[in-house]
Amino acid sequence: MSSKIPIILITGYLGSGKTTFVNHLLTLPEIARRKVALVINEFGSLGVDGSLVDSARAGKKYEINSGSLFCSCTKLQLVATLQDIAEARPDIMLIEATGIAEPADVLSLISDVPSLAEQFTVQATVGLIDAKNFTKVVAFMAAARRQAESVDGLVVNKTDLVSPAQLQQLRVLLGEMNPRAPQISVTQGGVSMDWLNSLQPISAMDTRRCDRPPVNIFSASIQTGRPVNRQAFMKTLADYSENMLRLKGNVDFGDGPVFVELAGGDFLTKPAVNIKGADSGTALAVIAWNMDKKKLTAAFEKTFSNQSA
Amino acid sequence: MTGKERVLAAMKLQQVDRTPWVPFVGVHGGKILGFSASEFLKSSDKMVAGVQAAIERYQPDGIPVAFDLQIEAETFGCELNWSDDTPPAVTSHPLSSGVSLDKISVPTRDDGRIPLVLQATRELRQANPDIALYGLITGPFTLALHLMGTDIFMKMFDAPEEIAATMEFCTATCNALSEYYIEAGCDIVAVVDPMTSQIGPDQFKEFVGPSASAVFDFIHEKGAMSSFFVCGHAEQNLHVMCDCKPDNVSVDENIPLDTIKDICLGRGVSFGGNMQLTTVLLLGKPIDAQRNAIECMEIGGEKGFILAPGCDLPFDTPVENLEAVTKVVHDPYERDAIKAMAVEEVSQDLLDMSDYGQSDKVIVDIITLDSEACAPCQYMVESVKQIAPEFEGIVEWREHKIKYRESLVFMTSLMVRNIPTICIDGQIRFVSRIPARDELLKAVRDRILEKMRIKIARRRGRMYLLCSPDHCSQEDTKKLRANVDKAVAELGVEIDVKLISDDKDILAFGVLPKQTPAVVSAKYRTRSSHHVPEASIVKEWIKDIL
Repeated sequence: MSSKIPIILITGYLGSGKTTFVNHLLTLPEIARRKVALVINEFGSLGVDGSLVDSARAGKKYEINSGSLFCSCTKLQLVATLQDIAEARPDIMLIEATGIAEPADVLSLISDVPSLAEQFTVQATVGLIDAKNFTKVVAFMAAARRQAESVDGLVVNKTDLVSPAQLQQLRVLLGEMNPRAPQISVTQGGVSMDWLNSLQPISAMDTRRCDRPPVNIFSASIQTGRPVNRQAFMKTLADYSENMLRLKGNVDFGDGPVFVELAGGDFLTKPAVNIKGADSGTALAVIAWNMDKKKLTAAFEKTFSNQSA
Repeated sequence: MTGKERVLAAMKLQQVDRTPWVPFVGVHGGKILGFSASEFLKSSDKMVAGVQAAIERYQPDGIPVAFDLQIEAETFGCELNWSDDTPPAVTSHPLSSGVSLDKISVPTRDDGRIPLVLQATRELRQANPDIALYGLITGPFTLALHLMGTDIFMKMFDAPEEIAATMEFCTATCNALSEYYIEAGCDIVAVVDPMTSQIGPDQFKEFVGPSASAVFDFIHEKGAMSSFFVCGHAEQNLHVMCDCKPDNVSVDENIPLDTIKDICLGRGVSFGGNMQLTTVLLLGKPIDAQRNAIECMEIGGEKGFILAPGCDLPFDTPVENLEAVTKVVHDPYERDAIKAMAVEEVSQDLLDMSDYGQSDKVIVDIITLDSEACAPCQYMVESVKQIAPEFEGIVEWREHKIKYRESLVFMTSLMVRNIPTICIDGQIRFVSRIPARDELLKAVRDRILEKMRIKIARRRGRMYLLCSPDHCSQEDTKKLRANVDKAVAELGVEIDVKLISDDKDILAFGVLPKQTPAVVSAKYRTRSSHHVPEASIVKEWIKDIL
């Protein structure tokens, strides 16, 4: 019986740089000289550079692009595809999972289907984290959160698009979300084979059902028709600066609304924008973590003055 | 009952004569007759033939006409990637590639493949008046995702007003499609919105709830019934889904059936699901499919439950697996036979848990994967650890890591199916959910009170009538017995009355035979069981009875 085929599973939501990362991996000599099977399961992505796959020795690209939105169909296609691949006996397999894939589901599928469990072993799961938009997406998209929580290694990508303060806050957040996974900050998905080899995979069994988010990340909207006390508002921002990942919207400090934004630790103001559905001067959206949502909204409510605007 | 009556009665939470069975035959209908998925979904004749073949083989109570969540998207201009063995996939999202919403119209009866589905519905309706026909529409949030792509998640923060406008358009589309399908003869409109599993209840209420509620209201106005289908990890949204007032909620194997049952029935909504698609129906054997169906039917119960696969059936699902399910649905003897076989196989391993939880302490068992490797398990263990000291030794807790075989046997014996789970005195109390501190304290306190009640109820009085034959006449003895019986009857209490007439036994009560007739009463109370009590504790009990 020959040894099992190692799998590297790559996750990340659309736009996090998975395809660039896969293209980069295919150029690494340690991968390029091996027989690679590449499974792509993303809809609407630009696609992996086919010539790179072809140059990998006798490599083959398999696309799972049907029904990718809907979990069950994806799983079924993956089973069929992996069975095909097992027959081709590649040296290594890369799976670029759909942006909404649950890594635990993919891994448990491999361990639950005996014919797959016999043929494959998971070398590592890697999560691509888009430094610019991750904190925006994670509050709303369950898969983005679960991917970050359950992978063996976190590739913080597109770091050239954020400030050092933003990057630091993101790394702290990721460290809390997945303390087990080493993080690497890169641009263009540039990691080394040594880093990939250093990752410690946990088994599918261990990640299964661990779908409860241990870190509380939430979004809140804050609206009022009353003017906001500027000093109290700024104090609230300072008090919860560790907790607030994003904030933007209009605030009326008593002299008409202005647009405010918390970006990279800086507080910026600009002329107000028209916010549909908000019937008043102040309408803010906040993404925060590691605190009680009610406490945060109560803190903002305390900054509202008693008089109406 | 006809199949249609059975499905509709289940949806109305009325009694049914047996569990209704609705196999979600999608492209699998094509496979039965040798058509590829794309051939099947592009021809009304093939759809009719495939669904009709499925009706004959699987004898369902209800069946969908077309299970393809790309029908509406195709009319919006989303590009589709066709496949031989799955429904097509959407590969482009008009609103994220520069098309504005006002350039996209609500589909008419003549757009895209809608006329094919309508024609198939009319023909299937005519041929099968007694089967409930499901018209499937893509739910508003999944439609919005088809239009916007995953940008939608970023726009929840950046431009919620754009999502609101898109959702308004999607609602109008859902209503239009519902109307077309109802007119063509569908009894039930299933709103299939799998992408809602990606968002939490707050976002659901903000972005999806108003649309979904409007669609269900519209379906009701048109005189049809409705179902809300989701797949994936959507447990967090079940409450808010029920708040949208569908008649039924149907889920896949990612959500335990007992969870959905409790939530839905508690809100007056029927429920359905959740046979395992991949590991059982596609890859398993007929016996696996039957066991899974029986398990679902037993949990689902007789009211408000519809047996169905978790989502649309995979193209290659073996026909014999579904025929086997049909057998256990239709034939109670077949069901009992399969159940008996199943019991035989597992019973050797199971522990007898009937006495579990009878000790004085309250035992809290936490079934985990391993609290060191699994975050939710860890939090669950910590939550118990924190409250245990408050009960000063009354509460004992232990973790069972199912990576060890004995723990797995323990878990199966307690009928625990999900990880992590908290059991209190052998009863499943918190499943996959970390209870708030107060909730856990209350659960333990309730159990302590329950135990006290049981103990008090178990106290039983006894009355000894001491009558030495040498000192009591038979008449006195009879009279005493009669008086005691009368007193017991008048009080309506239950006590044991025992006549003692041996002089040695009378002496043992500290009464001389010549003192008789005498009456001694006693209260018996179990002070300990299953263990040897410490002397210091026994001393306290003795003081009680002196």
